[in-house]
Amino acid sequence: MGQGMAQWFVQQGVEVYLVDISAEQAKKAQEKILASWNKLLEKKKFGPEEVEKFSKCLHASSLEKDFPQEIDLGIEAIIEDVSAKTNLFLGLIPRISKETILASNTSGLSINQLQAALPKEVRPHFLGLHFFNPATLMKLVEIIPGDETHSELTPSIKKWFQEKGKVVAQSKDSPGFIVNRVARNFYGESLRLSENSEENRWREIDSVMEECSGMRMGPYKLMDFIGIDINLTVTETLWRDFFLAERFRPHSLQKKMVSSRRLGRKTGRGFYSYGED
Amino acid sequence: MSKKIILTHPEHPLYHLLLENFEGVLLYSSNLKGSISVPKKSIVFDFTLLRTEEKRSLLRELGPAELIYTDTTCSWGDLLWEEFPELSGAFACGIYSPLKTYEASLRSLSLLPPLEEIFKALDLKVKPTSTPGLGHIHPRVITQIINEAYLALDEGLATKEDIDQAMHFGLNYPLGPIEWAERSGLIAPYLLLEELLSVTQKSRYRPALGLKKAALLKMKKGHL
Repeated sequence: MGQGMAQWFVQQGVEVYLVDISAEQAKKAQEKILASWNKLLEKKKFGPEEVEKFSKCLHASSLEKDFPQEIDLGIEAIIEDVSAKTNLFLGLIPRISKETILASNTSGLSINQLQAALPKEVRPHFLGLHFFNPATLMKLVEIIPGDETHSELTPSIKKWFQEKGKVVAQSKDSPGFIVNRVARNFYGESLRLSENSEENRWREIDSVMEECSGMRMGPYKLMDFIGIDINLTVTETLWRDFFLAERFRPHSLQKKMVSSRRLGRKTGRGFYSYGED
Repeated sequence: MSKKIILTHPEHPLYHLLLENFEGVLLYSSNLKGSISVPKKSIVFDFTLLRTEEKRSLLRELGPAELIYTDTTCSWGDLLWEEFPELSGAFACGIYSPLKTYEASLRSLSLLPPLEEIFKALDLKVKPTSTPGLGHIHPRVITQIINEAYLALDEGLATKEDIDQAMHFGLNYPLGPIEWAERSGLIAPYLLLEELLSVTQKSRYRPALGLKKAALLKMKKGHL
């Protein structure tokens, strides 16, 4: 996700420092972005001058190496773990300007919890900015101010993103924010509709959701694409965060699939088969 | 030649479309109970959004017809399917389809053409499915998405516009859930939730207050 976000920011004319645990990792991500721009150049989506300019604006660095102290926005897109994210911010804060805006790209961790772990003077400059994959194509950014976020920060960030062509949806800090929460029943209700493990029924549900509801991919196909294990983890997290609310309860079929390593496309078999493991 | 009878009421999202496209559409109201006259040589297309009990009463009255096609978006289709062997098809037009395609379960595919003919006149398509179940497929999944959006709205999580934009631009939904509810006329998702709650006794189907209120106000006003 960080890679796509870095690419999008550079394409908006922003100088970006892509930082990873090791310089090697950061370099790999940088190379992938450069390869993507070359492909887009071949497809004539960008001109040679633009690509050259982009390349100059993208830097790869490790956390240990130097990057400028004066940065406008520092946004993390690491694993969904409160301690890992907090430690990252706490390590970064002494090395950057006090005015730097800090943001988390979490898809569901509490922004208030992350904010509370930061030094008091930093908290007003902190908020959630949730991008959607692929960040270069998906227009949405969810913006989630924390309780201590400065009141002027949210509208100004919102305006900046809108000027750059993103659609911004503001959400309160609540489990799953808007998208991950409201979308849950797309999978949950579809699973309850099948109530068994018959592929014919999954196919029927997928085709109705595509042909009648106009969804680009039916729920079973999409779970296979995302990874049934990942989808189950998101469901379990939301279920737990909503104090075991019935409507977010995971379905036994999801658990059954995960225990038998039928995780979707990545293992060659999920609800459907995709060839050899 | 069999006489075609089309029955509807203002609560149905296709009400205006039906009135614009067909002459002599029969308007259903609960006051009409016991007074619907259906000749034996007739094909009935029932576009009413009724919960199981009321739909059962209506189907009893439609009994003499040669073929009966009924909208079971808000009723327990599978149960009525067993109770009324004379039912030819159970379809679901209660929840707006952006692709103008609605599910229908038929006793046999040979019973598809009469329904297709009516749908075609409305510029709609039929998607045959194996069973009406309880709320079919498209209405049930979309209604649950709609309800979660209204629950979020009730909690003040975000504005209507932000919820709709988030689902449209974040996941490529053809339209946002609040707009989806409004285009479906609000009543169908609400009635379906009440039916699901009543049949399954599962709290996951409890309608959001905002949705319930909007639907009840609309039902009270009528929306002619």
